[in-house]
Amino acid sequence: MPDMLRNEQDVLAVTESRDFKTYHDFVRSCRKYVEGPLVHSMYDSYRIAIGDNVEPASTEEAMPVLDDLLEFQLYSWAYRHLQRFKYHRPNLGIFATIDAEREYLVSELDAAASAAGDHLRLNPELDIPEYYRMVDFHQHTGGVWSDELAGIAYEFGRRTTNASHMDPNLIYRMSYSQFPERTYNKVLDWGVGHGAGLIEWQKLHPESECHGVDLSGPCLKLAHKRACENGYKTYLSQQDIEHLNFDDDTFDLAFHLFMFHEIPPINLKNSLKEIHRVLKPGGIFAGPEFGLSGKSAFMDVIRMSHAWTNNETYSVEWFKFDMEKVALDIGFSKVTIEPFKPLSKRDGATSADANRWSLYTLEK
Amino acid sequence: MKATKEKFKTVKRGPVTADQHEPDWIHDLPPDNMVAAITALAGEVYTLRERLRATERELERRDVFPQGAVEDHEPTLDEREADQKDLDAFVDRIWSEISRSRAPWASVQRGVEKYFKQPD
Repeated sequence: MPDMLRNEQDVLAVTESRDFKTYHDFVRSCRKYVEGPLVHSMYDSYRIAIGDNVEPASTEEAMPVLDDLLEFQLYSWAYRHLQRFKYHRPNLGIFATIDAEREYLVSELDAAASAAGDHLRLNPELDIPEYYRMVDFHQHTGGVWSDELAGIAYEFGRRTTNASHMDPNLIYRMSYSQFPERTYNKVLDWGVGHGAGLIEWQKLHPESECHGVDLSGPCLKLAHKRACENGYKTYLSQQDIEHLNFDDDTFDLAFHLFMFHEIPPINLKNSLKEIHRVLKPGGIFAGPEFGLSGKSAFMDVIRMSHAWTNNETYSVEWFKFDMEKVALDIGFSKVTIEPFKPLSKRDGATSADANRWSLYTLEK
Repeated sequence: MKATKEKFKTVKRGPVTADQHEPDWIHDLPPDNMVAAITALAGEVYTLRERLRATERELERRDVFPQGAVEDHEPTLDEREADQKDLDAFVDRIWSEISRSRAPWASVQRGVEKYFKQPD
């Protein structure tokens, strides 16, 4: 519980039964098996299937080999259906659990939002981009924006992806530890979501004035509520990242976590132009993102499969996006793309580990 | 709703859109493996059953429960109704997986491919 929490009773919480916790421990453990032992076993079978032949050099060559592997079929089923088991089970799914307390949760979020003043600016008239409306990202039914409690479901979903004993905010601290060491007076969380990333930044950097933008009103309402619970005064607003309403040269730092793969390439370029505009000269835009290895066709087919199993629909186009060229064309003075160190040297990492993560740092 | 025509059994090369059937992902599951998984699950269930039996016996031996308390347990009328609802819901949760709609539960709208373009 954060030190600055004013009163435990002020914290918006969904009632979690013992069965709910146990069930989600089980689902999470299935996911862990899929990402670990199953992938390693798949790689062994892949090597056997190749036999004495040369290892496929391209994803096109690797696809038919993987297509015949039972491990890949089970992996694909699990990537698709474990999300359903997480969200949709009639008794223990996240949606049913949240829905049981809908009235209370909505009223609490609304109460916090109505007292927010400048700290939460919602825009019900905002034209939600079509690309965002077309895809239920990560199989979150209705997207993370259409239901009043979508923010809470999104926050729950994050928690049930990590082991219960793990700190779900660790990923934020890992990311921030890789940003250039400077004093950042004014920062922007680019796609603030449920707010945990921005709150974690504020904890580590009390000197920063913290802003966050998102397309999702329900997420922003939750983010505001969480900020209040932690005693922080953040500035959250519902905006399209292609059309920000901040003045030129406003921010010392803008950051994100894994946003690029959710945005179509042309919209991404437009959004980068906007972030360039609102950064101060010398300002930084930074965040981690995953990509293809370019070295292991085996891993790259697996990575690409998430686009279709888990509705990470724009990710395959993201993998082709030339960030360095686009960012330099826009006017960023320096572009650094390097392995995301905190997760690049994990204990027990093998050639069969699924994710290749990079830290993208763009300087204006 | 249409079935997708794919080059591969499981590997996909495009989104599962809302107007498509939810695909089958598993095509080559050997029946022996399925039986093995069910046997493994049965082993887990039996282990749980044995622990429950031992727990009941210990509770009776230590006079926490009267002899035969579990076996002779008679729910009240309200409890019977609640138990029946619980049982019905339990059966529904299992059997509805078999009769589950093949519509995708999370949507990708048809036409999304128009966003699969790189900038100039």
